[in-house]
Amino acid sequence: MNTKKLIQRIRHLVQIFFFIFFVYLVVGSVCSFVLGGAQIVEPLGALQIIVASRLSVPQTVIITFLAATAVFIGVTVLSGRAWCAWACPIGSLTELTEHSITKMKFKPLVERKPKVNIKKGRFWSKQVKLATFSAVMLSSTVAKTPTWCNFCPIGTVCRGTVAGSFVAGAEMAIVGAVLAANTYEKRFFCKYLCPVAGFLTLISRLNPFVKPRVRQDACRRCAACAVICPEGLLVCEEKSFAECTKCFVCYSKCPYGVISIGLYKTH
Amino acid sequence: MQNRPPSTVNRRVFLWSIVSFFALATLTLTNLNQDKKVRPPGITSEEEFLSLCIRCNRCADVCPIKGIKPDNSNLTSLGTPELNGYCAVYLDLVNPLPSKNRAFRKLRSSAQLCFRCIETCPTGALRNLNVEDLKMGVAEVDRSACLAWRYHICYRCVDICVFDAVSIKGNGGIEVEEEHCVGCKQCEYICPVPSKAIVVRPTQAEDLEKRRQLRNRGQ
Repeated sequence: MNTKKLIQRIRHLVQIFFFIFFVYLVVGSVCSFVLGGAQIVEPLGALQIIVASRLSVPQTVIITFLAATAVFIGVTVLSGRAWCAWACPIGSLTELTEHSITKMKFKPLVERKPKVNIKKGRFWSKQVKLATFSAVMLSSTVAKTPTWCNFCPIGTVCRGTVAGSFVAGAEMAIVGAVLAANTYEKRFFCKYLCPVAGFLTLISRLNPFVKPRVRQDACRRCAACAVICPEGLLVCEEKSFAECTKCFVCYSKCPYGVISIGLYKTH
Repeated sequence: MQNRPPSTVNRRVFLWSIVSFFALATLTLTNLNQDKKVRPPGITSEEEFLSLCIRCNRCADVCPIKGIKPDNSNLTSLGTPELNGYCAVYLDLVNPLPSKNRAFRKLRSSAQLCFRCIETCPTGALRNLNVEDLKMGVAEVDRSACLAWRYHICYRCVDICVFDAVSIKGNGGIEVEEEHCVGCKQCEYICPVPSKAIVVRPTQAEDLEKRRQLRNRGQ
């Protein structure tokens, strides 16, 4: 097995590990759990609660929140949006559905070219997830309740096992809708709507490590990378890679093999 | 790179954020002040609880009787914990039995509290209250179904209540004192009537306070 396949195998194993860890093993869910005695609180939820409760959270809790957020920012600066492709339970489920849809010979649906026009941009803007992020914060402040946490598909998947069975109830329709959106475009929810991804993207602009590197002299500008990339990045033209989830699919699947992984991006 | 799509927040994105903000806010606001739920211990007001709960369901995971389930009945409280089974309150009462609880009443002051859900809550949505301040709900007796009211038999709820909230009246019926009742649902759990003749209704400390004020005003 060559490295291109091996790296994807390793990634899928890590995804399976994190899925089992977050959904079945951990006490609580992604939103909050204890790891080696340290309280981990998911920062998007923490921020929502701080604004929703108008700072009436106990002080010790705010310190926990800030510590968790600092850890989160540190990890994101180091690894960018690696969470989305390596650990997120919804990301794993999304890839699994994509895979099974392709296996079920609905190929044209999934491999359909994304609505990308290099000159005009695309209909769905990836900035929308930044907008959802700010909308979530605003509506939490107004409605005095963490609005996103109610509907968050990541949390819903983790809560599903608490309820006794994997399917918790009507709320699982949210997860179903997220997975169904994949037939329209790869990772539709993660790419355009997920506020967690929006929050990660905001910080991952600072991340300089592990980014795709294209041998520009050998690249034939076929734009296949924009179709291959789960995030729909035109890898050969991309500069910042703030959206990059470090899934290495471009490296594995570039038809001309001109993409490698640079450990440190200088520009 | 003139060919690249603009990466700043443009008009379309701005419109999107407005739309989604209103969608989320209206979804939530229309659902506020709907019927309350019997929550895990440590809550004094539903509104405060909803603003603090991160919906992580750690309380449901640590509950020794798995009596807490995520609620999915209304949109504001999707995923918030609801007391579905019963609350042990004390570690000795994880499996409540009328005879056991009756003997336990004398040891109550020195017994060890359970409160694992309160200890594990990462946001302080469940507060560490005294046992006297606990108020998850108040039990109500359905006199037409209750065996004590109809046939003067059973009295299991009287035996199982360690807070002395259920008492026998002179005519053989039973009655709940709402000041003493914490709403642990143990009476509901032990009630032999299939449709449950004693049911805990969600009442939090603030509701009780309001009722008390109304009553005082009436006098």
